[in-house]
Amino acid sequence: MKRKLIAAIGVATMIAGIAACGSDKKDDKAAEKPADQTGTVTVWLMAEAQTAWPELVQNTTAQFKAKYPKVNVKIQYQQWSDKVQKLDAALSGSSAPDVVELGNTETQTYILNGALAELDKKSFQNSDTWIKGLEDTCTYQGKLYCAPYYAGARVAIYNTADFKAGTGSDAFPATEDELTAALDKIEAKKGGDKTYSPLYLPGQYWYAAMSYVKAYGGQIAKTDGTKWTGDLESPQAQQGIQHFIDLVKKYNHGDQTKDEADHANVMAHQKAGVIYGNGWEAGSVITPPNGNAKLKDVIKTATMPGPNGKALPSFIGGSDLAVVNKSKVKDLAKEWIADFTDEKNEAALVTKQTLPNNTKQLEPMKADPATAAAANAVPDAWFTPIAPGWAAIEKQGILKTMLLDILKGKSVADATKAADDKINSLINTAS
Amino acid sequence: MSAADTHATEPVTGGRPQLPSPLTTRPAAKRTGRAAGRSRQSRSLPYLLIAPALVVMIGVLGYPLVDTIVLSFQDERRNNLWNGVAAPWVGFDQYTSILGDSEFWTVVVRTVVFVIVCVVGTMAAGLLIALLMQRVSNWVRVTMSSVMIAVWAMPLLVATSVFKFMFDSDYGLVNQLLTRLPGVDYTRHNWFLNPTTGMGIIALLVIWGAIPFIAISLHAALTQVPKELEEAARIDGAKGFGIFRYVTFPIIKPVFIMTSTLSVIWDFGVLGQILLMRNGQPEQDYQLLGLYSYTQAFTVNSFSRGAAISVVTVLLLSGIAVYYLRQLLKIGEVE
Amino acid sequence: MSTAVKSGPAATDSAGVTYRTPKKNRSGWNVLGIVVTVLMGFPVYWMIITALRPSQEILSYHQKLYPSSVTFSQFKRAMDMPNFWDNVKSSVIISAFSVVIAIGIGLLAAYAIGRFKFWGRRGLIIALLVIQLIPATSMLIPIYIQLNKMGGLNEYWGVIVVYAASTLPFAVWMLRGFIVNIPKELEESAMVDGCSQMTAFRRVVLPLLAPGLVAASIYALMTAWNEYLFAYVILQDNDKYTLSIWLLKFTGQRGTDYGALMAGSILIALPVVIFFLFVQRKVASGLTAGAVKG
Repeated sequence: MKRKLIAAIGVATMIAGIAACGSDKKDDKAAEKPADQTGTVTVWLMAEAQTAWPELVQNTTAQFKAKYPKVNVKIQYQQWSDKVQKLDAALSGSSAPDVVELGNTETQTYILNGALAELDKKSFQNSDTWIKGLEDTCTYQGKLYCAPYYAGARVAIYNTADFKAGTGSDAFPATEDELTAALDKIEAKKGGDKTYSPLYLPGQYWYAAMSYVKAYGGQIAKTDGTKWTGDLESPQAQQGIQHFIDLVKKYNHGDQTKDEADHANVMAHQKAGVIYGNGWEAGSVITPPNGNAKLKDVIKTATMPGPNGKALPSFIGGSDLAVVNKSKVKDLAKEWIADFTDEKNEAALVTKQTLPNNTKQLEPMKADPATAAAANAVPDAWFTPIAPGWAAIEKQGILKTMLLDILKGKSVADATKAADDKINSLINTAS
Repeated sequence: MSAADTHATEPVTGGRPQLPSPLTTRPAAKRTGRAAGRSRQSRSLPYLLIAPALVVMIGVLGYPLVDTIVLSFQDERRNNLWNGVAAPWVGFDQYTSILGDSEFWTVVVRTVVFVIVCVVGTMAAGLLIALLMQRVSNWVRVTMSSVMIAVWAMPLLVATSVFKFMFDSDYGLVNQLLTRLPGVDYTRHNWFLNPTTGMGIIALLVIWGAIPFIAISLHAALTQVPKELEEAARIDGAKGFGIFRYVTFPIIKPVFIMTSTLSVIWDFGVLGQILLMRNGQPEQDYQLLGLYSYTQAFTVNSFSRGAAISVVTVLLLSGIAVYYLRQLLKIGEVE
Repeated sequence: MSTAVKSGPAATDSAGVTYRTPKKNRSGWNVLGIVVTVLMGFPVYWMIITALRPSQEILSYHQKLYPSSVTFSQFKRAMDMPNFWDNVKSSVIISAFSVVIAIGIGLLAAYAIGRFKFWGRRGLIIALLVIQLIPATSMLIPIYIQLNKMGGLNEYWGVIVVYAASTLPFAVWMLRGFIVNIPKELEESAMVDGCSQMTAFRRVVLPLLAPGLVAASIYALMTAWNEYLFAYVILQDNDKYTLSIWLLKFTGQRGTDYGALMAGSILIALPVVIFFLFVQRKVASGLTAGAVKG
């Protein structure tokens, strides 16, 4: 078995690396040589691939063209805001894309509705070390429907100058008790500025709130294998939510009812000592136009300590790539994904403070202080329930509403009960 | 087609002294004095005139309209849409489930209140500005209309972002200005925490964005009012408001009724402003019918439920439509 | 009621001339006009200074009513975005065609409804009304499927017909409201003078319709110029996108670039405002011409 696997990986690498022989593959185009194959592969990537890491597309196009000179690859960049409508419409017609990028909380919707084609895990480089949280979002009943593309984990982003001024040290505390002590000191030091928050946790930041739920051993929803039920009413989950709310109320001196959309901006204006954000958001804080270049050497990332002396479990976000079931060039599409997510491209992502899709390449990131915190957060990371109706729950902002209600004065018990009821009504229906 | 065209132009070359088929007299009475050929021509001309419009609308919207209605009697989900699996027929199930849902009725009531506020606000402000535009000097009018066009030309995304900035709790100009007043502290005041003020700000945005269209249309209509009439009324002793009410308003009435009806229709469909203002995930207290139908279709994955909500919305709006139609027909066919 | 005021050629009036208020009273109105302009224009002003001020000042905790320094870097950043000029071209093509089609076809239909009585007229009016009642977003997918059948996906004409069809009912209504107000005696007298009906329409009715035509075309233009959801769903190639889709590039998962967003939208709005100023002068002269001929 193992030998087989190694052999398979070898073949996969060969396909990805050198021009593969058509005869090796058993598909409908087997008779055709790659150089003679024609057709068009349409790829829908999200805008980051155009703005944040354009070299991935350039690499892949060059590589793919070398193998299939007559195949035309059309890359079309999409915006997150209205992509769902566009994709939903396109899948109903005859002009759907062949490859599509999906956020990892969206994939289940498309898998369950039969929109995606099954993939062979062995054809992707480093697939044996794929980050499990990401791979799980692509898997349904043991079959793989998409390939992980990149990941993101949340870390503490802090202002070393504020820490130095408040505590005398620019090191980030390792435990939550030490952190709150440091925050109190910073607060005392900055007392004059009523808009300064030692820890800026926005009240509707549900990814953070759920990390505290996870830290206490709670979860958003539980399953008995067939049916899902909301689990926010459990004592552990309530404890976690209460802990989060306490932190918000104590240390956030901005408007506590916002979500995290502009927390990097708060930090860029030097109105926050610590924010809890995606690893790459440290870059947003210091990079113009929106960031503040003066903070270049001041902003650092660290592992966020959680309750009970452990690190705070991070939500793992990211993107996956899938082949649309209606595609007429599935094999070419699969190969394009394999090229796009190969080791070289994933390495390029690492340089953009983005986590690669596999632990093999993640390992070296742990040694680099700039990326260590995010890389270290991956093993303990949590993910949203891989349930049929999860996308609807997220899009309707049910967890945000729950947190807002608590901030407005509803008891944690009542708010979690209401949220569970809503979750139960949506979670088991494919969305 | 070409034969009909020839027909249409035939009497025209004859330099006919009479009108073709004006609306003022009853058609039956008119037709009696006419030659048969001309009658046929005058009957086909209006159809020729409306034909292009019909072709475009039926071609583009015909199927979607029928499909929306059909959908509302089915249970179509993504799976059906994408894989060609026929959606099951559910009869009136979608309707009974919507109409029996108290959440839906809350949304309806909220929508009605919102629409009334917006339409009254827009029409009042629009009419006053249109009247004002008639009274100011030329350069002021050009300035006013340029600004109005600039407001109109502002993309929804940008207009909403600007309002969001201005009312932001942390860095909003409004809070910072209010806080400068003695004894007032609006630091960190979140205008959207209370849905009533939050909806108020969204209404303000909607009204502000709709004023240019109303003001420019009404101003255009006002230019049709013959000045001799107003002068004559003034000589007869009529005062400012009397002139407006009995002389000016009747002339702009068709445009006024049309624009107000359109405002009602558009305000019923308000969607983008709320979505953007609430970061893409509006709270339950911010749901209006247009948004509700959209959410049900795209996030809850029931295109059928979304379609049924649209149909119910159309039926609700028909009440207003009937009123409008009666007005419209009254004006169009002076007896 | 409305017949009372429909008199002869006197109905022609120049849009540009203020006729009721004696000059001495005008300064009061002017002041009020300026106040209204300032209130209405403030968000526009805010958009402009947001585009001109350094990015750091945009979401600042100490808002100022004027920028500390003026920079055009946001405009440069906006115009350097990929496909800017391609998308300008798409927007111009799509807007121009949909306005011409909607207004041209709409004018014919409005004239038929406003001047003739024919079988199905009532039905047509009702249909025009009902179409506008339906929330457009709920027809997104059916319209997509229809265009897919017609082969209009990823084609300019696909977007053009959707825009034309959706602004048509409005154009018909708007223009009809203006046609009803034009005394048909005017047309009659023109025809007595030997004009054919079409000539009478062109020489007499059209100039009087100018303000209505302008209002309706601006409406159609604004719709086509600013709409993005349908355009985004129908068009697929990035270089075929319209400017309103291009604008979305400044918002994203990695934060919104507000400065460039505002600069981009100024670039988008500018042609429309210029077009309007141009048209406004034409309207005034068109009306005068109508008065002479009438």
